[in-house]
Amino acid sequence: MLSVRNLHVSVAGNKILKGLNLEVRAGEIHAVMGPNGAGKSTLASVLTGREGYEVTDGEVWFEGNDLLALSPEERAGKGIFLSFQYPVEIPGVSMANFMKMAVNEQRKYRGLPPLSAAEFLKQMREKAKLLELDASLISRSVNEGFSGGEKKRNEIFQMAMLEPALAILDETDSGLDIDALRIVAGGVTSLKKPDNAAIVITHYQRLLDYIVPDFVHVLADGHIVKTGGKELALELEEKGYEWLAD
Amino acid sequence: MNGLPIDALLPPAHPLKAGGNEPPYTRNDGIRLGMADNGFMLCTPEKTKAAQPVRIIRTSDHNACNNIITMEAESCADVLLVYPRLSGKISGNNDLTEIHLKENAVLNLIFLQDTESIPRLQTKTVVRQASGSRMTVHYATLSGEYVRNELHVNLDGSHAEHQAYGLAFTEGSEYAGYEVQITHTSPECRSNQLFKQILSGTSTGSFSGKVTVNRNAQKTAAYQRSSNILLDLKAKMTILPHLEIYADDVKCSHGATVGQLNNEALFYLRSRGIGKIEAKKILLLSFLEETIKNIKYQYIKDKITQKLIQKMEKNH
Repeated sequence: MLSVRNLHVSVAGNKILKGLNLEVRAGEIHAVMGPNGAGKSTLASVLTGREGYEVTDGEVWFEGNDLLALSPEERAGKGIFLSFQYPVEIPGVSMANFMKMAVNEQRKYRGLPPLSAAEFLKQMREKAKLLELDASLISRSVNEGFSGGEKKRNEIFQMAMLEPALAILDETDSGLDIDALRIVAGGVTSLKKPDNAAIVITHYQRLLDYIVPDFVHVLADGHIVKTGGKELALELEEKGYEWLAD
Repeated sequence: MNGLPIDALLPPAHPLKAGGNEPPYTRNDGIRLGMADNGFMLCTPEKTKAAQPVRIIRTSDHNACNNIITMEAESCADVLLVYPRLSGKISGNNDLTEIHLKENAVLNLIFLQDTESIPRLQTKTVVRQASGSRMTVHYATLSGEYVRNELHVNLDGSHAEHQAYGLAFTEGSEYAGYEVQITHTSPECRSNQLFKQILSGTSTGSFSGKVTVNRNAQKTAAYQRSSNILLDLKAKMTILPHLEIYADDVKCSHGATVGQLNNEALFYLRSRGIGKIEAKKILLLSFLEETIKNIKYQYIKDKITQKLIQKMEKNH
């Protein structure tokens, strides 16, 4: 599904990723862990097309498409979703309008007719329930006045609405209390299907108690230094990251 | 409306003089009055309520208009002043509107300016509000080579309230400027100024806002905010916020910002599948929304939004 080969990325002239390789197949959950500054968020940004990241070498293929040649909206159309570490507040735009536009733009990209208003509202209600979000969310402005936990739940709510093929969760656990963490992780787990995949970027092992990964990768100094199963996360929790640097 | 109160025909008794601040009329106003070749007078008798909004279309066949709105106690009206696109032969328009709100009168005034072909449009509005009166003014400057709106308000009776909103979207070499002066001469009045501009191309804009709170105007609440977005490197915005406070028990604030479109917000929308141009439109409209949300006529809001969208599509 996703193939990252020898990826080199610079930000404002600083080399952040230095030859990263990653293969993700349908049905898999990959956890990317690592110390601060290792390049975890850079990986998320480059995969989704945030501006300011210069790819100096390497390539990324997503379901047969040269991902790096696509705009952020085209990548969304192809089925890539980013759960933001810091979701943005957009005053004056209601969640309902925002999601309606997003869902229908993606459907248009895939050659599907727009959802009917009734069907859309039904889905909004169902998915809001899944994330234990209050129904009033639909008429509120995007993320405006949301608590930290609500913002993160709102990210996963959007993921539920958009049903992406590949979801990238960038530090979705940061700033969450244990209840919010359980809700967010429960949402992600229930959206898991054999034909989709997820990359879970996290600093702590905590989230992986709830979202069980198939693979754990350790990203340090711009490339993946170790790959293992879910038990690797526990080992990291115990020993920290230093032992891998040697 | 039936009947004209006689005093409405008399020149106003220096609306701002009670404040003892800026002289209310300048030499330019003399020119305005001297050149005035048209105008309207609107008077609402006591305790009347205009059932329909009064819509006044300002054609461009006149150099200057001198307008008077006098609202007797407890009367209520909505007035829409439209400056449409007309192929006038006159190079400039210069209007003076004097407004008197008596006790508890309520006025909603909307300036809709989409002049395009008039090279120069200047308006000055001088308001005096008696106690308990409420006025809301909305300016929407949608096009025009040079548009400058001045608003002078004197809150001259306790519990009077004034809300002033303005928006402008300029492109090419257009200029849009606002100058607002609100003087609190009586206690327990409220005023609020919210002005937002979007500038593209080499267009320029200005906002000069002043709040004066006189010594006896205790318990005043006065707020002022100017936020602006520059879409291009060569666009330029000048902001001059002033507060002059002589009373000690007041709540006042002012804020001014000039910035660019929020790139992270743009990326947020695009990452959900919304195209770049569409995403920009959404963000710009959401930026201006605050300045029109209190307009109670949906068709006016739609008209403003439509024109803004047209302009955005030209300037993405």
